Amino acid sequence: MVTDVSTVRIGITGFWGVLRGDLTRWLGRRGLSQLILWLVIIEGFLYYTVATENAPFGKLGYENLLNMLMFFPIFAGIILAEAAIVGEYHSGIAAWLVSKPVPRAGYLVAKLGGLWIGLSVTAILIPGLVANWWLPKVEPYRFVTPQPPPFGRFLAALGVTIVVLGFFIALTGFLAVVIRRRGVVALLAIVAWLLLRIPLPQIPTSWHRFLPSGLYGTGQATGGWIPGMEYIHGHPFDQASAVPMTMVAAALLVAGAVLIYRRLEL
Amino acid sequence: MTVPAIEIRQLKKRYRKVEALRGLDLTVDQGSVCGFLGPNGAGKTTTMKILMGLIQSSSGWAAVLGDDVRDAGLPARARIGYLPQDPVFPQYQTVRGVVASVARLYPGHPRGSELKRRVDDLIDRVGMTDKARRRVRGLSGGERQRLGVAQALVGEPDLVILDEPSAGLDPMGRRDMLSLIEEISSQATVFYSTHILDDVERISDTVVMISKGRAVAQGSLDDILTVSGSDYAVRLRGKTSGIRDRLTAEPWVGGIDVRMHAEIEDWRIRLTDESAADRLVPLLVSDESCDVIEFHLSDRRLEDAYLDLVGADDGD
Repeated sequence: MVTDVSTVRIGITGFWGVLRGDLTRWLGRRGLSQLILWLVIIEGFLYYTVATENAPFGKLGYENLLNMLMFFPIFAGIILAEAAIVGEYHSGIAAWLVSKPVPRAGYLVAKLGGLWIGLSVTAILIPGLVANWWLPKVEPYRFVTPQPPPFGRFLAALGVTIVVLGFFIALTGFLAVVIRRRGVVALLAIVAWLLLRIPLPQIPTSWHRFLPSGLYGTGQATGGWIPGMEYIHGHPFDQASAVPMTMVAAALLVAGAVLIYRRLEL
Repeated sequence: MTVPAIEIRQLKKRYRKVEALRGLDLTVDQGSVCGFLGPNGAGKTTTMKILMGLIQSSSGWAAVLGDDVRDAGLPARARIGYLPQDPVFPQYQTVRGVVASVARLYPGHPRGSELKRRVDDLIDRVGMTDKARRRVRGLSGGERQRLGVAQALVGEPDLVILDEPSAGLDPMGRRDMLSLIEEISSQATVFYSTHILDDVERISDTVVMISKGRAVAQGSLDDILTVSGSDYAVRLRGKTSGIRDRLTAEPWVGGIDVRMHAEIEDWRIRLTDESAADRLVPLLVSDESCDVIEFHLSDRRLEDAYLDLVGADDGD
């Protein structure tokens, strides 16, 4: 029993050491450059679409914001998750780290978890809050939708987007452990992501409550299929069970990846 | 009784059609500096990776510090420092960052100024103080190797496993590395692989020679040199072809290396049976077409033993 406690303590130290290293990176130069990048891209695109009189997508406000928060960070999450797992597997960094007192499960969870937290903050939370500050002040926006959504509901929409990001990072992590080929992993994850953006008629409606697609809603102005949209428009969120179910699905994908990774030759 | 630092019995490893280890047996005692020698592809790196739990053996048994490697999880790894072959570190990290981040992976690691002191001390020991702030991407191969040794030692291990620590180092770097290994050996068991036989002679007290996935010799340096036979140096003048043919035909002669200097020839005769040395001198002096000017037991070097033992195995 003493040994077990000691093993757990060693494992937690190793896991926290890897996670701390990755999070520190997000707090440093990498995090700052990512934040600037996402602020420029998201705020820039958003300003263009809502504040330009003759903009092609004009005056769509929060719908466009959520669409961009779903599009760019998830795409980046897939690419970065592939680089973290497949890249470190092939470079030898994964082998080097797990030769230390770091459990393989801890390594994998720390890598995917660190990426999820880092991207959630720099690419979803901060750009979303910045946009929420200036968006209601823009005149053309007011013209279409006079009232911004309540702050709580807006935060819930950001939370839903973060859950969807977590699911796709977990899916990419699972594919990365199984396939271990750069490019192929990202391609498959992107195909899955694109398929879940479309409300496929082949999928029975009841299934959506167990899938990340259940977190998507139809935009009023765009007609687009966007995560968290129901929260923004204040409609009853009839797929609320999709939130925990998507989290469970993500956890199962990570658990599956851990099972395979524990037997992988590094 | 102290358990061996490393114990391996009948270890086998097969990669699809390639048999990397074919029943390897070896023992490394605690407190020793053991050189792990063998040609490329002999199975050295595979053995080390199995010991570190990075790959699994096909059959057989291996233990580090008394724990079976299949069960030995984190507690055992917390007591081992490992330098992989061709070490790779995150490119964006600095030298100090790498060593500090590895230190934080170990339970009970120091914090704050104590951690900084340990990290700086190690960086100083591997001679990289002036490069402590440099990023990994800007390091040469030799500098990465030194960094690899620093990160292997930061957990204050009981056993240090180094996969070719001298690879890629210039002569001065190699000398410093050997001094460092000697220094480490006062605190931990060192098991390291290398191709450089001079290094092994200088710092190792025990040697394991491996060829084609099996140990062909192991023991103290003296044991290895004795087991592999003995060499005699002979200086001759005159017509030597006759005596050379007669010697080569003897079953106890392993080989003759000849160096010619004008009318004089220096021979190095390798005997496979030490007891046959009594018959060597009478045979040499019996040939009247040449004169024996000099005869003595030659200093046998590890290189000779290596070539005999591994070379003989290659010839199987």
